[in-house]
Amino acid sequence: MLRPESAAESAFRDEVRTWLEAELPAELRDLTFRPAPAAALSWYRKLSARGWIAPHWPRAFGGMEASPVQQLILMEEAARIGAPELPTQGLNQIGPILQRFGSPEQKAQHLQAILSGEVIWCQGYSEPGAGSDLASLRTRGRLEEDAVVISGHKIWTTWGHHADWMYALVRTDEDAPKREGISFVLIDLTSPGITRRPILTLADEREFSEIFLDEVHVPRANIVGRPGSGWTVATALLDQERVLIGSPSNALRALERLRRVVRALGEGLDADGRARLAEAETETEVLVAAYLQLVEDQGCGRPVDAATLKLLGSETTQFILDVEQEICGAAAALKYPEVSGGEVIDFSELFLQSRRLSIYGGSNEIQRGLVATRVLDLPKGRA
Amino acid sequence: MSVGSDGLHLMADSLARMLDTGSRRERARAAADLPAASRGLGNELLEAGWLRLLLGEDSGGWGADPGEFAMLLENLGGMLAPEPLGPAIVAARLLSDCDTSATSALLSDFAEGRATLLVAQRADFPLADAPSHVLADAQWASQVLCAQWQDDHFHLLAVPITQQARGRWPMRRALDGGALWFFNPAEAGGTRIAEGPAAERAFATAQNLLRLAAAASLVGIGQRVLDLTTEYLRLRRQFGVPIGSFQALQHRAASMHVTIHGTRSLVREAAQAIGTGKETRACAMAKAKASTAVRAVLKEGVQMHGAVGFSDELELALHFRRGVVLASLFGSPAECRRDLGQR
Repeated sequence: MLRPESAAESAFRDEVRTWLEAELPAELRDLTFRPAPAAALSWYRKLSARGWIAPHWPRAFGGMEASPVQQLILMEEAARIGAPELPTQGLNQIGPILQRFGSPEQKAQHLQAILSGEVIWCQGYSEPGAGSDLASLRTRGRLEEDAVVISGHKIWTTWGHHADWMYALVRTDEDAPKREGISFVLIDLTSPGITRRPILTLADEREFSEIFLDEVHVPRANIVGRPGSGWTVATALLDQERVLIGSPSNALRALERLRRVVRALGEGLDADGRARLAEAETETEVLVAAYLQLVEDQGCGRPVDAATLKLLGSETTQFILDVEQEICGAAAALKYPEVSGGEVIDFSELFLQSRRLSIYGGSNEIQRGLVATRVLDLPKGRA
Repeated sequence: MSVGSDGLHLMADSLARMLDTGSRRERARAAADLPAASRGLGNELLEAGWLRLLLGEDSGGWGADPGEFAMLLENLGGMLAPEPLGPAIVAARLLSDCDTSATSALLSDFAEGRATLLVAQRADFPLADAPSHVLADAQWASQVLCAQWQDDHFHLLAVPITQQARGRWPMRRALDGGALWFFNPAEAGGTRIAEGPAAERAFATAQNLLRLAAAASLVGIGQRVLDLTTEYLRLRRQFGVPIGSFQALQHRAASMHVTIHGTRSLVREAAQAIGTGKETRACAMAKAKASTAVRAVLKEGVQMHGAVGFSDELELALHFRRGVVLASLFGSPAECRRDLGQR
């Protein structure tokens, strides 16, 4: 962060840093993989008990309602100490959706459970035939008196085989226009008729899964909004989601990895390497600046350009990791980290992991299309 | 104390009216044809008091903060105003900060049109015999402020600009038609007007403000080029449709927008760092990023215009040449990254 910190902000940073140093267990620091939710949950719950798990949630729902700078300080300090990545589908996706569209019963059942880390959520949007063209999804929900009976096939579901609940889009009206026949449903994944199969990622992790639903009975009370309003529910908070996806937390974590390589290289870093590092640091500050200013604008109720932030956030992280690949030289071929000078030095894990960033949350090609037509007012093409 | 964003927009508007006498293109081209000689900023600008933008109110200034200064220069960046207003404001602030009888006298001369002062930079030139310092937009100035260290003791010099060549140097034409004046402070016959650590700090801040000003102007240029390009993409038809409906071009235009948006955010953030320990780092980052980002935007803007983009007919060509000059001077990206690497 380039702007000066106020005394209160510096005090908050000190408080966060001291607490993290004291509380984050050694076995969860500097992990060079994404821990499965169960492994990270103890840390999730500690943050929750401290009141820092949901910086962006309103106080009315148990959140911290933190200022943009406080949110950034939490991200910077988590990156600095090497805190693990946590499951965020509950906090960043379904939580805000329920806050806005959930029934009183849905809010009561789920929001506190998300905050306290009792329940892991996953997202059931993508299907084998419905990716960027999400509205063409074919998983069916048959509306009965008390239930929606769901059959279909969801895929690319992050942590799907570790999750307790899934929020999903299902087609409940075959005759309605594409976007109007969809309902937004909360599915208990212990329900009969669900089969889950993990999918190995490029980064050699079983993080995705596919989920088969065969006549799964879900109470009608688990529909968010009314039947047929699923598209509106799912897209109303898309901008907010993109802001979270575009936040600098990934880039800050990537920059920390790069700095470790640089420290390990010591005098071995040549002038070109120093220039590349300066470039990576500069790009990180570009993202931090854009994020702070956008969240401030959002707080003032001004319209925000979330697609641009998603592009900046994902591509900045990828750029930093490109620099890491360059600086590492031959070590970039190593699969596992090395320990040097008391530090865990990882070379390529995040480079592989970060391929996801430009794909999920609406691929960067979709975001560029949005910027072109909505921000730059270019004519719609024959997409 | 600050002018506030409403005040800032009013200021930018009034400045725009003042500078926009005739079309942008005509003015920029006319300025480019001027002989390299001191021509002064023009009475209108001086009488309106623009030079004192960054001076505190107790020094008779407007008390604008660096963020407002940067935003003003961003607004002006796309207007092709030939006057080096940003550097002139920085020179005035440097004179005011030094606060000696000599600098106060020079500031009065400057404000009343008897002298025009700008601040020099070290010349990062790849030519072995190039003098050590350079002044951009030298055709406007009668004197240049520069640093000289003697046994680690700082002196601020005011050097008169002469047209007499010393050897192969000193005057060169820049791509945008402006004059670049090269000199070695030790040989240029300047007068010492301030000294010591406080003056040294003021000089360092002036260098940072110059980087910030150039970065902000580049953002304005980049935004103008993007606006011209999207306008062209909407109007120009080929294959029976506006070329802006082609995804290949849409995505590249979107990338230009992302680049400009991020750079603008960085420059605004860097402005807040002036006066703090992060000032030098922030301004080096802002200038490095603005230079590479806007250079990329300029190239894309020309490419998307096709052949007419390569011609000298459009306003685009003027922005292109001015943009390359600003990207290279006041701290080239390589120079800024070198500074960032020395920690």
